[in-house]
Amino acid sequence: MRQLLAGNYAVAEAVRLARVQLVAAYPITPQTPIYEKLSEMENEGKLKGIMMRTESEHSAMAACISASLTGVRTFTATASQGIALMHEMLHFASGNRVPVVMVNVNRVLAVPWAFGSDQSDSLSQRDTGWLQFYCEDAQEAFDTVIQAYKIAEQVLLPVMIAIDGFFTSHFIEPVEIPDQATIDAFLPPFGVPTRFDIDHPAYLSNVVSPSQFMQYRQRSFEDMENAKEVIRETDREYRQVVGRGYDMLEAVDTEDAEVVLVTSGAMTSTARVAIQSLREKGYRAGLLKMKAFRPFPTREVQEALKGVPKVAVIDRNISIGKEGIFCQELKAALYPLERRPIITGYIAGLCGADVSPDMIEEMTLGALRKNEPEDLPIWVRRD
Amino acid sequence: MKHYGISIEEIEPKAPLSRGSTEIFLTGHWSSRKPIYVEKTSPCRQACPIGIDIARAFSAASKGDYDEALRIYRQDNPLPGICGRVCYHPCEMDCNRKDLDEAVNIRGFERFLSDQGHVDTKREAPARSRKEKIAVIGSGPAGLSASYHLARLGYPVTIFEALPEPGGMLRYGIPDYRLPKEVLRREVRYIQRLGVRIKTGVVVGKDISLAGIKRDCQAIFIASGAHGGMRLGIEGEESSGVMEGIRFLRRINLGEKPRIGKSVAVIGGGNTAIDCARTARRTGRKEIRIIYRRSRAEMPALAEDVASVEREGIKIEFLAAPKRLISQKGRLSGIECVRMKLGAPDPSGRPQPVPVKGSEFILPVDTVIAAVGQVPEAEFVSELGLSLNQRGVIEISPETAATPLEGIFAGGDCAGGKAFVADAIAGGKMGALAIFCFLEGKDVRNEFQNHRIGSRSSFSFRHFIDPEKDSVDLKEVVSFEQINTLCFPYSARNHNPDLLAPEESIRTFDEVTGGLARDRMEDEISRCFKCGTCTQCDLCYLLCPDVSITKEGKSGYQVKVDYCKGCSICATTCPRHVIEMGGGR
Repeated sequence: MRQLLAGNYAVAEAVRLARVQLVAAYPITPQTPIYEKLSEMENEGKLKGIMMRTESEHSAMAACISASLTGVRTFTATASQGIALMHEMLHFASGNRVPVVMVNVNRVLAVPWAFGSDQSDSLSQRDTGWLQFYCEDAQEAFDTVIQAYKIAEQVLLPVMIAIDGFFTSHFIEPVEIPDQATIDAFLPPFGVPTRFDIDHPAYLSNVVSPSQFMQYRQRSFEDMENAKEVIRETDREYRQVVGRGYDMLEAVDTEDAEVVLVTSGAMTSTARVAIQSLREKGYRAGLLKMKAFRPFPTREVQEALKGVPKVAVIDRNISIGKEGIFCQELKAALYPLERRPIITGYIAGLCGADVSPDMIEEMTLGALRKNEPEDLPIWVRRD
Repeated sequence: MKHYGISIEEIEPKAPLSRGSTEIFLTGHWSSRKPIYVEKTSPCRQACPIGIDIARAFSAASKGDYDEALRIYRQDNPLPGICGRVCYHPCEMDCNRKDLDEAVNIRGFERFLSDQGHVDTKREAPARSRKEKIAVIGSGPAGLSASYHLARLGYPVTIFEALPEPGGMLRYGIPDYRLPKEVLRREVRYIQRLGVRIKTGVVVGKDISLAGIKRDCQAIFIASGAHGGMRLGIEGEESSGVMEGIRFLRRINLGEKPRIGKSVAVIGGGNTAIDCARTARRTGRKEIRIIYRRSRAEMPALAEDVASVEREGIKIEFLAAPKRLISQKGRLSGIECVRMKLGAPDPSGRPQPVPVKGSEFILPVDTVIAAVGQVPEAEFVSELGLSLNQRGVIEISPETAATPLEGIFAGGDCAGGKAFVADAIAGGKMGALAIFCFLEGKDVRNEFQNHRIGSRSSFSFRHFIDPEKDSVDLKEVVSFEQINTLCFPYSARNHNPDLLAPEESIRTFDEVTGGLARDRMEDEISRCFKCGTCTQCDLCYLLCPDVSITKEGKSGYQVKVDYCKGCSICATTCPRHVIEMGGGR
């Protein structure tokens, strides 16, 4: 059924339809409406699972991990300072190989204190061993949550889904919500057994030797690589059952492009308009939308950008001391190519600052005009 | 659809899981602080002149073992049924719970134990018998208490009682409506079962000489009480219609019917005055008033007893003192009083009453009962050369209960003790300790200090008999701040119920106050913090994050110091301050 929903509510609908058995969360702007909606659903009896109101995000994640270890499907949502507080437990989740699914509503990290969208919070958690997906809109957020359970429960790694604070979380858009039977046909009940056996007591998170440690890390690494195939397969199934799908990345008009713009998250929607406008003006401009960040779709990126002479990357995040994080990852992915494009990195829209179509057009054309690569990113802001 | 679901065998190579033991990691070596379990002293016990281990008795009762609770009471007090009714309960005044909501009804508990519990005198009997004979003069609370403790120490004890029945003031001073005779008889019987012989109707100095007793016995404890009434010392006191309060009560308790008029004035503010007024009310007199020279706050009688007086229609004339008794034709017709105001505090700390000039007024009365204090009638001791002080009191050393004559000890009212039942029982207990030390060649001062409870005047008999078995720290008294009040929800005190409405109660000498019903008692037992006593509540055992506290049987908890990291959750959580953190392993 098509409904007008804010992204946060679309996420809550997905959690309900995924028949999540335990939600443990702590409210934080701009994630709070997810928490509130799930509470409301629990109160109305629509959410069959248990809603745990924990005293912190650290505890919320600890509760999700513990519950998942007992063989139940879990969910949490957070943002900004919340995910920062959760950091330690994010490692526990991936290390214990629990298929927890979390939505992070991107918000800038203090200080200074602010609320707008900024990917630094989730990107700061890049190396915690979680899968990370960045969504463009509410519909994609809904679909990705459903898909995430199926992926996580097969690869036994936790999945984080990022949506832009306020842009996606609070904007109301038409969203197609499938019925329960459709979701049930796609997503079977939780299939991971409990790790606890009273007759054979054991404990988790135990101490291991250095060589054992490396073995476990290597297994996680390999399973993250293998996740790519699971992601593709899951997306195919989803297209079959639900009728929609997303690849790890989406390439628009890149085949003949003289310049390709690379974006992620909500900014992509604006970029689509800007690219179309540039095409109308006679530029051969293309768009590459990055959805999967971990695992990083290296081959797919290489395939999409090989032969493209100029690339512009817009990052709504900054790794101080280097550059935008997507730009950095992209450069590393393209390094093996024989003919590498000239890549220009832009920092724009931090803390939810406006990134308008004309700004995007300027940035794209700026990259097109570059004949030498630049080390440092270009900061774009309208004061 | 692809195979979905995963087996535990597939998970195990991916995620660490151990079925080994962590016991190889002696994580307790990281800390220098460990919990120490030491049972401590409750403030109620310190406040009790008799030193009853109240908290421990409550703990036993909380497990349903009322007999054990009674046994704990009787280790120090042979008269719980009496104290459970008439004690002035200083324990409740110091109860830690009063700082949370209301003090625990400790007196009601003692009464409940005595009325409901079973006394096993075989368990109280001495393990060995001693040969030194001991005589006790007087069978009031001090004499009974001394005899009981001496008998438990194995001595043959004989009590000489002048009156027809044992009990002293308990029998002849306290009326039935506060203390039924059967309760006293029951508790005296238990003392007799321990081998104490009570010779009633024997007046020392008349029927038997003190010197004769001294020849037969190795020690004497004098506890003859204070049965003489103090005089008002005013004009007209010789007229008929004037009587001493303590004589009035004795005559009533002997079953006599002393002649009193229609309009009665009772002079005094203590328990005797209250009892005289209520007794007079029960003889059918309607016009009864108590005249007291200070205000309500200074009355020595218990507030609850003062309240019962007023409920029974007795008026209290505060801030008034008798000045003169007026007679007409040889019969008392009135009492002239003077108004008082409160002045500077006297040596006891109470404000001194000061007469207001020209405020004299006359109350028409035909009977005056003087209840302004009691004096010992202990002239019989002069036979051995012992002298009495100006107040008629036998002089003893308060630390040793000893008179100047070797082997002769005294306690209770006759030795100037505080005029309460509990203090008399405490005096008897002290006398027993002093006589034991005298006969065994020990220093009673040392013994008292070794077994002294807190910083007050009582000591523990259990600790004295077997300090090894009694591991309680008698010197450390638990304060309210040391109680984990999070473990105790607010709850109202369960008061003892009135059995009779005031208009009923004045027609009979039946007991006015009843015992607590079992369910109310259970609630009151759960209200008690059991300060300093381990009730085996298991909080430490359940909350230890390192599973370093174990428990074995009834002996309590053990700390695995090799694993305890010294976090002190157990000590912080302990509801009753049994656990403390200590340094070192």
